[in-house]
Amino acid sequence: MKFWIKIVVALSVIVVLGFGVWAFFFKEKNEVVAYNKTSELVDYKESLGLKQKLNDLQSYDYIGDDVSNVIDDSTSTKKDILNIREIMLSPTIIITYDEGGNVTCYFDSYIIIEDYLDNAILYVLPYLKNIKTDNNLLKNLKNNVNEYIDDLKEFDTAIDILNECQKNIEGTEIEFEVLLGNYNSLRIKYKQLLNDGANLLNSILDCIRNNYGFLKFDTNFALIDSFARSLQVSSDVDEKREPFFSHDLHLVIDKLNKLNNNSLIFNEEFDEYSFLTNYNNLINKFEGEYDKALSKHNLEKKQMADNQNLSDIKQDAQKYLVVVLNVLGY
Amino acid sequence: MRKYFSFLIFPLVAIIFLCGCGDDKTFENLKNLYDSFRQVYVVEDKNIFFSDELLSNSLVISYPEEINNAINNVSPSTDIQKCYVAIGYQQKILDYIFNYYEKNQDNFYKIISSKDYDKNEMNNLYGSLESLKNQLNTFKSSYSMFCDATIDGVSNIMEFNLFSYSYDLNQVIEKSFDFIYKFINMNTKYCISDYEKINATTLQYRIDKTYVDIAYIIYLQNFKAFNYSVGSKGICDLSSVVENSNEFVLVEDLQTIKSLSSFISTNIIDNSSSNYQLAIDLVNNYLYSQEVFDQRIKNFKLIYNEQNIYTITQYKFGNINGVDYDSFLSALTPTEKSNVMALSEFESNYYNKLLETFSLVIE
Repeated sequence: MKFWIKIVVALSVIVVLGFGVWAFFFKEKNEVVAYNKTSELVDYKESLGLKQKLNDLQSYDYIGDDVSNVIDDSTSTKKDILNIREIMLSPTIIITYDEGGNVTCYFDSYIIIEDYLDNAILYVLPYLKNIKTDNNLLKNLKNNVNEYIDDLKEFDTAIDILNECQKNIEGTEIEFEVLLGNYNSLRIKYKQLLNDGANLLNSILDCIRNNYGFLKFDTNFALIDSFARSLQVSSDVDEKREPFFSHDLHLVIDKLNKLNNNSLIFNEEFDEYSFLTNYNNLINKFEGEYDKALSKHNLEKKQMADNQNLSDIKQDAQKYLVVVLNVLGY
Repeated sequence: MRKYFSFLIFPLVAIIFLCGCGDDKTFENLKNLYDSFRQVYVVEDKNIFFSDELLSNSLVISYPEEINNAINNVSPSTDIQKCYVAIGYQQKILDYIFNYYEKNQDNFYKIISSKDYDKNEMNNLYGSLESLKNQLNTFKSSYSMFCDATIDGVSNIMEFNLFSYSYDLNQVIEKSFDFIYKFINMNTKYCISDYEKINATTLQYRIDKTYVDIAYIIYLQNFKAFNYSVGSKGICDLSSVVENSNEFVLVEDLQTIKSLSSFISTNIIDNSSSNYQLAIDLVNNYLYSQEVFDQRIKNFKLIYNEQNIYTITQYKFGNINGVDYDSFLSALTPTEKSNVMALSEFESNYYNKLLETFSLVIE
């Protein structure tokens, strides 16, 4: 009996040692973890086919299989459904008005914002290759990837449930209320997906900046950085304030569009060099101040761009912030 | 048993020590190696690879008159004629590389002797020059075959020989870049005082470095991108180079080496001048784009070396029948696509920006 115990103990030791040696030699190097993890996420998202599902939902504006049975605005429930569909799926810019008919905000739907988010992640992804970054930042990135994957799964399921519901209802008020519940649920999940996407993009940018020590921003990188920060704010606020912050996000998207179309985004007063040097200083020295400014209401940001109402911002950061806000269009 | 073991272990330890303890190289060793490197191919008092007497430290390959005329043909019409002109562009790349060494070597050897430089850096620099010298030694036979084939004039042999010669020349260029970038790093770190300050001298250093950067990107995009293998033999697909590399870009970017413009050099020193601000703005823009370029190029090289550049380039220039570049891109996974896009992004954003700002400070 003792002999067998010895054999078992010896085998266990060999297995444990073997596993230790294997783990030592085959452990993924820290330098490649960030890139590999994010690549897996990007390819996983593509494999879910979410884009196609959302495009299908965009054109699926009727109930059942009857194309003529379009969801109209005849009841408040249906109106709410149309409203959520617009916020999530509108292919064009959304405009809101006050009671006097004046434009208050114009902003992009979730599907458009998500497109920019996807493109931004793809743009910065190659810069994660072989980076040496702080362990906490790397851990943060990994957590954000995992959270984003969980969101994607939940969002995917929510689309399927909604589709199933919309396909099987016949049009009673109660059925529409159930459908509205599904749309509400999808909107919350979509917003969460965007928020976690912004967290992910921000953590990618943190890792890249940490790797370079002092990242010299170019205009594209600076606008993507501003996009990530603005999206984090706009996807975090309550529904009432959301249009105003989405409006601010649109300002960055507008600049990204102009840059891609080779349209001018600088002028004599605020040229590219001045924008970039000020952006470098703001982000590399006073990052928190920029986030603080972005979390303010649009009117306050406009005042800041006009050199007013800056008391909340550290004095040394104010001059940098003013230039950046002006270039962004406040 | 222990005794036998101790007999065995002593020689083993000694060998391990010997392997680890090579002599550290000094700047004098480097200088001597460079001198012998310059003498790699001398025939009857004629230095074949360092043929320019005025630029005696520059790798300027001399050719028999017949080949020289073909390389300098200003209006090539046939494919073969164009391939010879492309060989001339490869020489231009070497000119840009060795221009930096030529201009900086005196100061480098003068200053470095008094500096407490990192031995590993010097060993690496020495190693890269040694490797370049070996490559140049190997290149001699390729050079002779190329000259013979051209002079004998059998066209299909000539074409294969041209491609093969161009590939071998690429290997020399590659090693030259390896050497010069190490040299630039040491020179900047130890031998250029006030590098961060803006004045005519420091700007000239930066300009010479930019010429190396320009040559490097042109080399990667227009020559290395067309390297491939036929069996064990490396070939540079010169016919694709001349058909598809934008000749306009080659001609435009590989112009004669220029210097800091007099507008900049006169106005940056006089802050009462009405053009002072304009000159400073131009310089700031150039320096900023150079710094951004320097930060991003490491990443670009990493991606470039991971990709099958020959295939990507073939698709890019529409050389693969039936599949255009967009279809090729859309067939890739998002991750693969992002890498390919990052390569073109580097060229259109960082490289072009550098060229644009650079062109405004030279004349």
